[in-house]
Amino acid sequence: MNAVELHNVSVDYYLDSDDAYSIKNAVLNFYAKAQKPTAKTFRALDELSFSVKKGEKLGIIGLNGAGKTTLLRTIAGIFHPLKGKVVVNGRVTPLLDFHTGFEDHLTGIENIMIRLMFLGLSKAEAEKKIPEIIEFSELGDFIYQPIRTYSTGMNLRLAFATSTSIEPEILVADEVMGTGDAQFAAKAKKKLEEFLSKECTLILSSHSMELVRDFCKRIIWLQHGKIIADGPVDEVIEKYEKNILEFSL
Amino acid sequence: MSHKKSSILHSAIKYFDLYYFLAKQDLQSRFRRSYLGIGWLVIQQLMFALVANMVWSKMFGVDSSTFIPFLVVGIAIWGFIVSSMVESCSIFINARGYLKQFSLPQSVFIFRSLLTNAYYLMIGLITSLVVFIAFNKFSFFGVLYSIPGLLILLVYFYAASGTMAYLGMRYRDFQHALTGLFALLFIVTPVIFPSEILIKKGISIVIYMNPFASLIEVVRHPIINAEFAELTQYAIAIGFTTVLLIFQIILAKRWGRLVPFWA
Repeated sequence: MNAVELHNVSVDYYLDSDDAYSIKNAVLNFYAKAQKPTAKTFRALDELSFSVKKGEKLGIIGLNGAGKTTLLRTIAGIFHPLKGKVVVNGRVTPLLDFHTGFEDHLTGIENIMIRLMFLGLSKAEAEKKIPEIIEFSELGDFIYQPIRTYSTGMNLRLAFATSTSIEPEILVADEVMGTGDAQFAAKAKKKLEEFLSKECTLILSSHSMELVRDFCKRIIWLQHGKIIADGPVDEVIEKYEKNILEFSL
Repeated sequence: MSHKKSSILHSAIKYFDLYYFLAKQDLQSRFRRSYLGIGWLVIQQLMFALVANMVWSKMFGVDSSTFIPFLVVGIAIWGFIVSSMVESCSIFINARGYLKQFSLPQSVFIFRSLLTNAYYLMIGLITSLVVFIAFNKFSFFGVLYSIPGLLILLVYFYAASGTMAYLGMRYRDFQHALTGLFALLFIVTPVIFPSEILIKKGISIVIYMNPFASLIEVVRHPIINAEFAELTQYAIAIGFTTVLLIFQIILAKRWGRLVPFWA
């Protein structure tokens, strides 16, 4: 059974519109319609089709701007494709920019609750996770302080501990890695290993070949929104690295 | 499964816990560091009524004991209306951190704002009722008669704030424009003067052309007079709400897909 299927999926980005998001300019443009250029778009994903089996661990690699994040957001249902169809069987847990989007004026605990509820947990389930997250993040009494008083490291620790506390069905993760000082990084690495090896479908995008090699069996190499290669880990990574070497020489 | 669009009512129920929690935190964090807490809202409302009464009751030749209760309710409802239009412009912009990470229905954020503001309205109305009791004008039936109007007002908020959430996201200067517009509307809307004054002077058009006047009347008139407001007022309020709701649905169809890009 397939956990995720993509059928000819295309996603376009609208480049900043010529009215610069203001009514004033929109009105002015309306009167100067004659020389108005057509809306500029950028094709981020170009007619992608592939499927991911239930329990499969898929890695997505590619240079910056290849469409990796767009692909993950589309699978997670955040972006809706203009053309094509995305079929998902199961609950998708997105882990994208997971260290952003906290509410500055709320405390650590409140932010954990909100985050977990957004990830699909009920209030009661989220409450149960709290002690474990506080312990792992080593934030101590700071957990009762507003997030704006946190250092960058504390912020990352909170985000990491929260995001890795869930049990996903289909995990869609973008560039996850351990964070913090040497001591926390070691702990985080272990936690991440446990988390990514869970019995779930995994779609992981990363620039770290080591990471995808460790956790994925199959790799898709994206470039300019198209699939360049799709196959077993070592095969695709070898091609990819050879290709990069040629370009950088 | 996760890509299906769910209906408004469905997501209102399904995500209740989430937006209730968000709204609660919004309220708590707003008053966390203040000694008087929610008391600030009450003081503001009462001070405004007292000061306005000093000037306007003489001007219109009305008795303070009828005018103060009138002012207090009007201000509570007006605050709710302004927020439905002006504050709502930034609903999606404030939620962009979530919109880019999760695929929840956009209505979750509209409900969050509705809940927060309904709470403020409730505080305002409770304060008003206390004032009514103090001036011996309280009528239990008045409160009952105001319920249909209140329901319209709540649905109106959902319709208006959803519409403004899309417009305010697409046109970033929209909120500034509305702030100015509402300062103007405050002058022509019967918040601090009774609509009868204008109607008697033969310029009832100012009242009947202003849907915000109707939205105030359908709640204020029943509370004060212990009877339903004019049928026309209900019709205008419902009509206006329906138009906004349709507008919101159209905007959601056109721009909903683009919210994660634009917010």
